[in-house]
Amino acid sequence: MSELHELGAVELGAAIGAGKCSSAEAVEACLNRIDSYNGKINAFVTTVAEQARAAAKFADSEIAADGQRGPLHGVPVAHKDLYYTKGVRTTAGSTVRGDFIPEFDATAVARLGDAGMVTLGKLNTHEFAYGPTNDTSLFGPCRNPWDFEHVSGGSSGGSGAAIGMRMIPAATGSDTGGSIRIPAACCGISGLKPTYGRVPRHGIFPLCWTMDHSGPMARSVEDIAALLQAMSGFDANDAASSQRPVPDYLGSIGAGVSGLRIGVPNRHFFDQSDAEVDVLVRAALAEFERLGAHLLDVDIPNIEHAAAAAMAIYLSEATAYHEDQIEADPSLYSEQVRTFLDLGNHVLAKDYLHAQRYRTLIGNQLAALFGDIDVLATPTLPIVAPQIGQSEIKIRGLDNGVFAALLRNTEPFNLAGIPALVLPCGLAGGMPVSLQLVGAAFDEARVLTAGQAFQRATDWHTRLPPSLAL
Amino acid sequence: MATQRNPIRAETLQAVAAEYAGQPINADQAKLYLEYMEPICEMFSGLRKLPLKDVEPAVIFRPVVTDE
Repeated sequence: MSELHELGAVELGAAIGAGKCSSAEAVEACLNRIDSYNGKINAFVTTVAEQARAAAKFADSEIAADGQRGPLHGVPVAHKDLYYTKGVRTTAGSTVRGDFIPEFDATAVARLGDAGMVTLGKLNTHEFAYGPTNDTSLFGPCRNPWDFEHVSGGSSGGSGAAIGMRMIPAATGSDTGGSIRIPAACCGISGLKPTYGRVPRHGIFPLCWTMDHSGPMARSVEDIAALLQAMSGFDANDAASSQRPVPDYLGSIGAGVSGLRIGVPNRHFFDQSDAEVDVLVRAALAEFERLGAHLLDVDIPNIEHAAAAAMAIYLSEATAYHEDQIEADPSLYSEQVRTFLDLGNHVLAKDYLHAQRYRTLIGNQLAALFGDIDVLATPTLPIVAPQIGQSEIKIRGLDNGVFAALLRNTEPFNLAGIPALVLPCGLAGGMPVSLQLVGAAFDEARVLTAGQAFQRATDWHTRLPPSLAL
Repeated sequence: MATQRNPIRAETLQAVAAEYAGQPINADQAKLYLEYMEPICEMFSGLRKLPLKDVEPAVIFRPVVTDE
């Protein structure tokens, strides 16, 4: 058997269930990794070692007495510091909430606990999730496991970096414009932004109520499916929560992609990506063809307005949420986040509503498109992870803002609220490149099946950062 | 639906912040924010030109139902 920290969540759960190792041993292996590597990447901002050891011991006794509750029983996990954790400090990466200790768990945290997962601690986040780099945080920048001078991506940077560094097999993230998918892409792991309403948001600090999604991050699609299974389902505490039944994600992911129709956008995504990224993502699509899928050229009208619509919504909703606190003491916010919050004072109500109307427009267009295709494929990011502190980047010779470039390919699917899975598909200059697979609303099963087929045929999701491969 | 607009000015940002939003900013901040806000306003102008006439916003009110 591989070393415990190298196993994915489902593999580790199976090993625990088969008596090849205990939950206590798995937790100890992860805690040792955190001790060894967190100083390099700053992914964990709080660890709860003794609480985790006690929970693992309890899980082992439960399993010995009654067997495993499910595939994740006894498996370590950690949570983005945006998720409420009962009795454990939850800062949102900000001085504003630097001493906040919640009195209850976020629904997603509670559900993963009900599945038997053992919480090891809290993970770095961009301040209030308001940025895609995670270089702005109460705890300092989170660093990329593949090159410590580069960003982890954000806002769920600690989740991406900790999994990439093999500290933990799985984590929670949240995604308002790409905050699960961007760090997953930057750190060479997998991540899923589910359909809006699929996973409850209750107990997660909001950034934008109408765009926030909760979801899982892990190295493999199989692990993503297992976590999604545990996290999904109706929650009366979340006004947007869906009452649709939750399918058997893990049971259906092995169906393969023979005959799958994959839409490939003919503009906006590939043509505005770095040439190396373009080549590697197209190579991934060729692999899907080899596996029996069909590639179809598609156009998404008005996609170029997605950034404007997303901006109108971020600025309006985030400023409304933070209004009382920023009036009370603006100095508690970082300069970057305070600037964004100030800018939100200048968005007209009609522009916010045009943005919400655009969501209906683009949502209808995408829903119609999914009548002709099963999955839409794009590069997750047009670039690899930029350097910490970098604000501008050239793409095909043109200057781009780093924030805008990181968000360009992901935020359209927050606007539409449809599921988007990302998975590593290559290396450019030694840094991970990622493929994004988008599905119709509530069709997580199909994107997971496609992702699983790709990961069975390739080994990009098992590649180690150079600092771990020595 | 589209309307022509004039470029935004730092003085406008400063006045809106103080007089309308109740979160005053100084002149230096206003100049800095202008660099961000003018391109953002230009992006928003693109939304105003979209064919949205018969399109309702994605955020729709739902009356709260009294528990029985």
